[in-house]
Formats: sequence, structure tokens, C-alpha cells
Amino acid sequence: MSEKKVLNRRDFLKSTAALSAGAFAVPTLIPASALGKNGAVAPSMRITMGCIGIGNMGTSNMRSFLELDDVQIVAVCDLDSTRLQQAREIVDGKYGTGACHAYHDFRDLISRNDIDVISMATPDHWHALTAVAAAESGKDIYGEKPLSHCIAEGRAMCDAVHRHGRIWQTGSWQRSVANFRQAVEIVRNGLIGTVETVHVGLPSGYSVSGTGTDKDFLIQPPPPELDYDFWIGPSPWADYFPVKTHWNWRWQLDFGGGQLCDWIGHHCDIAHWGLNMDYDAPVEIEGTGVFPKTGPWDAPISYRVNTRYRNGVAMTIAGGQDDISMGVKWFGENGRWVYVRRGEIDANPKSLLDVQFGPNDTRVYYSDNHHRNFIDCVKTRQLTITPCEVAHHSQIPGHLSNIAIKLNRLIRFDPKTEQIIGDPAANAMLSTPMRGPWRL
Amino acid sequence: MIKRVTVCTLVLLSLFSLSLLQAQIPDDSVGITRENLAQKLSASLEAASRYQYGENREALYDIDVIVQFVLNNADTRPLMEKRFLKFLDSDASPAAKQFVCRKLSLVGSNTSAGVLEKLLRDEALAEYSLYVLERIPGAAMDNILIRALAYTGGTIRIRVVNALGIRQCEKAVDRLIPFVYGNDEETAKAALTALGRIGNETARAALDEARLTLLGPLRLQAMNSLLQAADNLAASGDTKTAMRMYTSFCAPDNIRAAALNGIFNAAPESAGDRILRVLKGNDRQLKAVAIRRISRKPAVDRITDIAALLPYLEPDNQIKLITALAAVGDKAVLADVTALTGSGDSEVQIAAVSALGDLGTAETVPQLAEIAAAGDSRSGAAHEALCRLAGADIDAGIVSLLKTAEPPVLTELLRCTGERLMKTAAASVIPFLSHEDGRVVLEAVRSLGIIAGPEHLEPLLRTLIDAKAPSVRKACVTSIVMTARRKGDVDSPAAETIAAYSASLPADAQSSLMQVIGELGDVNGLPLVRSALDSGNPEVKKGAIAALTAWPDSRPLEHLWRTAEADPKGPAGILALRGYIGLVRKDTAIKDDDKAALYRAAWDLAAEKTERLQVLGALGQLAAPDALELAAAALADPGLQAEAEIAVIQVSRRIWKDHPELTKKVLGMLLEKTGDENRKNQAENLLGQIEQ
Repeated sequence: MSEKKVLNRRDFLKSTAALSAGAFAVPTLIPASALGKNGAVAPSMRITMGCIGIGNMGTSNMRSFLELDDVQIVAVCDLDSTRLQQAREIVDGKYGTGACHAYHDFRDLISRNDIDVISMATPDHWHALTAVAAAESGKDIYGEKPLSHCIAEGRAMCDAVHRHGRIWQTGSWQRSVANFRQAVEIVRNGLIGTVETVHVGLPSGYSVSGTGTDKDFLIQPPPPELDYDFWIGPSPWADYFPVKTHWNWRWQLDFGGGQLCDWIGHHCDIAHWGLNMDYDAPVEIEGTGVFPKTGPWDAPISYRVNTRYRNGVAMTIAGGQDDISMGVKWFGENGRWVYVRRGEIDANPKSLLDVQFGPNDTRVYYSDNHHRNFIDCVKTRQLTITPCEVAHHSQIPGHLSNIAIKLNRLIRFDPKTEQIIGDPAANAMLSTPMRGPWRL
Repeated sequence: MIKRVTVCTLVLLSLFSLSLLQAQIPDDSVGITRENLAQKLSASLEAASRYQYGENREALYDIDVIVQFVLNNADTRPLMEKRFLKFLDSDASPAAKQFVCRKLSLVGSNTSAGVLEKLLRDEALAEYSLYVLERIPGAAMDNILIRALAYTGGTIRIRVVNALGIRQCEKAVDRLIPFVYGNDEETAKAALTALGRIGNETARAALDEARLTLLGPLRLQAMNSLLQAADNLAASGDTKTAMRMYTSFCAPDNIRAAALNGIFNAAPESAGDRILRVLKGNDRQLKAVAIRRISRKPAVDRITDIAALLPYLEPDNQIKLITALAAVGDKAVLADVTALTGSGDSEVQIAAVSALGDLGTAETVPQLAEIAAAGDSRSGAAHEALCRLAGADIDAGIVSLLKTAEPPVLTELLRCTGERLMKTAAASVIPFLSHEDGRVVLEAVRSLGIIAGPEHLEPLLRTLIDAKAPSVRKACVTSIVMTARRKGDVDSPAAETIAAYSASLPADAQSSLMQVIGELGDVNGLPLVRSALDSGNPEVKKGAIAALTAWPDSRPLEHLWRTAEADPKGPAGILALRGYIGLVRKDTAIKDDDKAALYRAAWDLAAEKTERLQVLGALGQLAAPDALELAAAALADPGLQAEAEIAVIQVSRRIWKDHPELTKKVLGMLLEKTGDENRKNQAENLLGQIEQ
């Protein structure tokens, strides 16, 4: 890269992007490897990154970005000072510079003009506020799945990303894994015929993190290292108990969406991809679920939701159902099907798995490194393999499922307006009032 | 508290046994009827009235079930609303009131106004009230919120302002504007946001004035709010007003960029013209924004005019425009992009070459092949583009070029025939098996491994037999195996290879042919390979052992054993014993107890430490007491001890439940001898489990 480019790179990053209603089929990316960026990259030419939310996925993503030579993590942010310190040590340990700044408030990190992109892995109830603020500040965003805490927040995130022309990659990394891509290409090339039914199998129950003793649930003051009031943020207030926050927020609908919404961003995402329905959402949703009668958690434990799309495709979303395994299964004609999950792909007939695809077949967006794909797209300003709008549409069936389960009745959804038709109570559940000063 | 722990345990269990969990969570919704609704609701509210955060949600669960019933029976809502309001006026706990407020937000009506306003005036409960007020539609709630602007303060007032914005309450605009210029910056920001959401003429005028008069973050917020208002106008069809607003922004960059995005969205039909104007200008920042629009829907017109500006852009923007044009895929821009394959900027060159994979035609094939063969920084992108080029005539173009191309380009083209899965090109590739350039032959063999049909096995076999270079012979083995597998002949997949084999062939050719037979596991070839075991030529014998070792199942086990047994210290015997151990390990049809016996035989025969280590490595996969005893015996040998300890732990984990005494005994032996802390801990943990 020329000196002139070095000087102008940040300007170019700050000024890019355009509003879009959708994307062309498959953008061609010039991978960094082709651009000769896999070797040593001068610090002044690196994409500068801030990491917000450094728990399980946040740390994992941070470590992945640390491995990319053209990324420089310059700041970390978390409301837990212990985690924050650990994250800073990881970054400083990698670079050996001691230059990584630690922030308590994400707004302070976002306000830095010398940060190009953020990696965001907060609990779900913080996704929209963080993402919208970052987009308005001209940052590109790698955001963890599930995209949003409710449909309205997902829409606000997409609008902000579009309005400000930001590059967005969702942490639905299964799209960058070979067996998922293979399954999708088998379906897309019509090898199982027309697909009318899809099964999306998700986990059931909760995987609770804690000691398993009474102490886990004792109401008490939050530990000094955690800014609990900030952590609660836009959600309704609730007193602290030791297993309330890290990891277990998933099982509380004020902060997450249970296994259903946690995983829908993976497997429904793949189901849509196979159906070539990345920008679609179901029009009818009906289902049942089992909620815990006792204990502090309130997300559904098991569920079975039947949805129907405009083109007639029926998708069943299930957790804890014997007849639907974890993963995605597309049913085609004459008994043909394709099934895929992590580390596994199967088909009927098996010979479908041996089919190879050439340039004249339908090929889907290729990425074999989800984090790399994000950084490449930050440079070329092309869509990532899982842009915000696609992730939003993968997430919608999850949110609608939770609403339909709560109401125990059929709801009808208009994908264009993203409103539930003729059902004010259900419609109210598309958004969540935000506490205190927080707003989108 | 006990109940809570039970639930925690249950939910953990549920991951593995959902049916168990479901059996313990009765569905209470069945029992609710119009007749007993009031009674059930009263009982549930009474039970919930002392609820504290973090406690069992049992009482709340019951209310949830009743709310579900009420939401499905609209005529029962007034009853529920009335009971909820009474509850909110009671001395119930704040946590319980908060929960009820959430439910009230779904079933409430104007009837709730009085109670909600009362709650709003109570600082401790105001937040709960606002949750409901934000959701229940109607002027009554608007009026409560507008009045609240006067008597609330701090965070609660910001929350009120936010709610008015979300409700898009036009009546509130005049009351909100003063807050924009008030002393509290956070309230001012909230007011600006709310005005943007409401977005009527008065609100827009106020925002416009704020944009011009305020400074710093408030000015930025005013502009963001104006953008939001403009977007909403455009979405509702008033593009004229929206466009006027978008074009009024001249700074800062991110707002200008967003405004240009808004213009593209509001007037997609003129996007092409506007992009051209921007690209012809000097504003480097806006150029990047304009280029991004090109690859988005709806499609942009004047693509060729836009592409014609490529030479005049900065390299950064050239790369972006090339990438965007490639994503659009309009071949009319091919010449403009092709011209940049010779750019003075190497990254622009690479981008242009890569884009040819989307934009190119059959005429592009020679150029891409030349660049791919050149071995410079563009070659990787050119090869990838050549493999990606789509179109009915591309394959024909490649085949045609095969006839005239010189070796470096020819090699590249042959590579592409395979990677492009050009099965119809196999006949055209076959002649290159006898090419004078070894690199060409090698690429032809590799390609045929992917595209050849059964009819091409004969020339491949001939190439293998005649090959001088080991690399070609090895590639032939792979390609013949791949081609034979595609044939789908389960009875004799290696029939052609068996027919081609002769003991009079050179040793390396015999070995390679046997390798094919072995990898395909053709039983018809087994006698042939077995005979080769008796060959006087050590290379042929070695080839036979390798072929038997490659067999996909344990059918040749006996032959390998006899060979090993005949000369346990000789090279053939050692190779055979290694193959024997590998086959035992590979065959999943052999039971673990039988495998342990087979390994013991190998152990006894092994003359070298290497083979015993191989056995120990395999033992760990077994759930057999004999395996544990065999591993235990090796603990005493210092040269094998580490592997033996690992095997002992692995086998112990598999069998301790069925053989606790033996496992304890062997683990005890391990603990006596080991100096490894990690394995010591593992062994102690296992013993602890057994003792429990």
C-alpha cells in the first residue's frame, strides 16, 4: 500500500457505505490474502478495533481477531472489572506493548475517533443500544448472535447500519464452515427437488452456570467488580443474585431469549440460506412451549413452533422434541432430504454428499474464516457473509416463536411492515420498553 | 430455597432428559375457565403479592397462565385489568407490582390511566408505570405523559420524553422543544431524539433550528434526528421533503454520508446520475459512499458510464469500484476492468484480475491463463478467477486453448479442467498423459483423478506403468483409485488394475498397482498381492505389504501376520507387523475383547519398541480388561511407561464400572510408578469415582 493510501485510509473508512434495501446475489470479495495482506502489516495500516463485552464469546472473538495481522485491538470494554483486566492482559500480552485501553462505559470507547471497528459480544439486551451508537459513530461492527433482543431492536440496528453505511458481520459463523456450505449448495442446486418443509432443531432446557447450591440464588449486593445497575441497563430492574448475570442471562427473558433465540441465529440462519430466503420471514406462526413453574428463570424449556412462509414453505422450529434433531433438515421431493449440524452432514440418498459443484452450478458466498471475512469487507465495503439484515431475518422466527408460545395462539406476521396483523397484544411484544434514560 | 435448587437441578437434567422434566411441570392452563377466572386470579395475585426478585416464580407462572387465557378471551380483559389496578394500589411488594405492570401493558386500557398516573408520581414506582404507559395506546396515556413533563425530573423525566417519542406524540412537540435548550444535556438529547421520531413539520423546524444554533453533541444529535425524520418521510412517500432535508447537510462527514444514503434510498431512479456526479467531483469521502451503492438493490443504471470513470479514481476507490462492478456482474464493463489489470498499483491489478472471474467471457480465458501461469502477485487471483468463470462457452474455450498452449499455460489450464469439474474435457486431457514435459503430465493425471470416467482407466494405468517420476506414479495411484471408486463396481472395483498387473513389470510399477488394489480393497486382487509377498524382490514384497496395510478392512490380517511371524526382526516382518496393528485398529467390526487378544499377539511378537508403542497407542481405544492388563504389564518398562500410563487411564475410564477391582489394582500400580502429576491426578480422580 502506498504512503498516500496510508494517509488516506482512515478517511476512506470513515466516509464509506451506502443505504441499501438488499444485496445482489453473491458479492465477489478480494480476499486479503490476494491483496498480499497476510504478511506483516505496519501498525499504521491496520484496522483498529475495540472489543465491547468480553465474556465467553467476546473473549473468543477477541482472540480470533488478535490472530489477524491487519487488525490492531486498541481498546477493551466490560462492566466487570475483573474480566476487563483479563482482556487487557490478553491483548497486551499478544502485542507486548501495554497500549490497550480499558473502558467501563462503551460510549467512551465508541467516541474514540481512532477506532475503525468494534467487536460486540454483550448480553442480548445491550445489542441494539451498543450497535446503534457504534453505527452512528461511524464504526463497522462484528456483532454476536442472536442479533437482537426483540424484533423492533433488530430493525433499529439494521436501519442504523444502513443509514450510516456500516459493514456488519454477525457471529453466525456456521456460514463459514464447509459442511454447512455443502448442505446449502445441495439444496440450492435442486438436488432434493422443491423444498416444502424444513426442520430447525435447537437445544432445550438451560445449561446453568453456577455452583448448583442454594448460594447461587441468594439475593445480595452485587460484587464490587461488577457495575450491576449499568449491566441491567435498559431492562426492568431486578435484584442481584450470584448466578444472575454472566452466562445465565440467557435464561431470563429480560436479558436473553432462552435456547430458542440463542440458537435460532445459527440454525434458522442456515435454513434460510439453503432456501435462498435470507430476506424473508414467516407469515404464520403457531406453537407451544413448556415454561419452568418454579425457579428464577422464565425462558421456555422446550418448544415446538410451526411456521409458514409466503411461498408455502413450512418450517418447524423445535427444542426438546424427539422427532427433530439439533440442526437443519430440508425435506425435498421423493423422500430426498439433507441434514446438517456441527460436524455432521447427511442426506438421502447418500450419493448427494459426493456431488461436487463447478462454476456453472449455483454457488453460495464463500468464506472459510468468519472473522477474516469481516475485515476483508471492512476494506472493500462489500457485504459480509452474514450482514445485519440477513441476521435480522434469521432472528425474526425466534422472536415470533417466543411470542406465539407466550400467547398460545396463531399469529400472523407481515414481513414487509414487520408487524403482527390484527393482534395488538402480540404487536406490543415486538418491542420492549427501555428503563431509565436508555433509548434507541 | 430447596425448591429453587430442585429446579436448577431439573433444568440441568432437562438437557439430557426433557421428558423427565416435562413430567414434573404440570400444565395448569387447562383448569382456567370464565367461571373460575376471578377466583384463580385472586388466589394467584395473593400468592404473588410478597414476591421478591430472584425468588421462585411459581406465583408469577400462574399469573402468566391466566394472562394467556385472558389474551385469548378478550371479554375477560376488563376483569383482569380491574384486579391488576387494585393490586397496584395495594401494599404488594415492588417486585410483584413491577411484574403486574408488565402484564397490564398487554391487557390495559384507558381505565388504567388514574392508577398509572398515581404510580408515576411515586418515584419508586414511576418506572413501572412508564413501562405500561409506553405501550397502551390512546390520548389518555399521552396526556399523562405530557403532564408528567412538568412534575418529573432527572432520569424519570428523560424516560417520559423517550416514551413520548416512541409514541410519536405530536401533541407533545411544543412541550418538548424547550428541553432542547434547557440546562440538562441528557434531557436535551432525549428531546431531540423524540422530535426526530415524531418528525412532523413543527418538530422538523425545531430540529433544523437546533442544528444551526447548537454545538457539539447536541448539534450532532439534532442532525441524526433530522436524518431519522427524513428517512421516515421518504418511507411514507414524501420524498420531496426528504430530499430537501438530505441535501441540506454539508457536515460532518458521517452525517453527509448518511444523507447521501438517504438520497439514494429516496430517489433510486436517479442513483446512477448522482453516483456519476459524485465520482466526477473531488470529494473523496462521498465517492466511497457512492460506490457502495452500486452493488446494492435496486439496480443502478448508467453502469458503463460509471465504469468509464475507473481510471480517474484514487486507487482505494478503484479497488472498491472494481469489486462493486464485479458484484453487479454486468459484462458491459469488462473492457474498463480489464484495462486495470495492468494498473501501476499492484493491489488494483489484483482486484481487476479477480473481478474478471465475474465479468469475463471465453475470450478472457487466455489472458487469465497467462497471468495465472506467470507466477507473479496476480497469479493466485487469476487462477481463482479462471476456476470461477461461469458460462456455457468457458469450458469449450479452455479445451480449445489446450491445443495450442505452451507448458506453463498448459499446466494451468489442465489444473483448471479438474478444479472446474470439466468431465466432458477428460478425452481432451488424455493425450497430455504422454506429454514430454513432466509437469504437464502430472497436472493431466491430477485432473483426470477428478474428471475421468471408467473408460479412461486404461490410459491412466498405462501412464502409471510407464512412469519414470515417482511423483507421477503416486499421482496415478490416487487418480486411478478416485476414478475406480466413481465406477461404483462393488464386486471388483480394481478389475482393470488387476488385469494390468504382471509380475514381469518393474518393481515400482508392481508396487503402485498393488497399492491401488489395496486402497480399493478388491478381494479379487488379494491372491495377487498375497503371491507378491513371496517375491524374491524385496521392493515388490514391500509393495505388497504396503498394499495389504492400505486395505480398508482386516481381510488381509492373516497374510500380514504370517509375514511378520516369518521374520519378526527383518524389515519385511517389522513392516508387516505395523500393518497388522493398523488393520486391527482400523476395523470397527472386530470386538474389543478380540482386538485385545490380537494386540497381545502383536505385543509378544514385536521385536522393537516402536511396535509396542504402537500397540499401547491402540489399546487406549478399547473397553476390554485384557487391554488393561496388557498396558499394566508395560508399566514396568521405563521405555514404554509413559505410553502405558496413558493407555491404563484411557482403558480404565472405559471399563471401571464393569471391572472395578481390576481397575483399582492397575491404577494403584500406576500411582506407585508414575512421576507425572497430570496422570497421577487423573488416576486419583478415577479411583475416587470407583470408591463412590
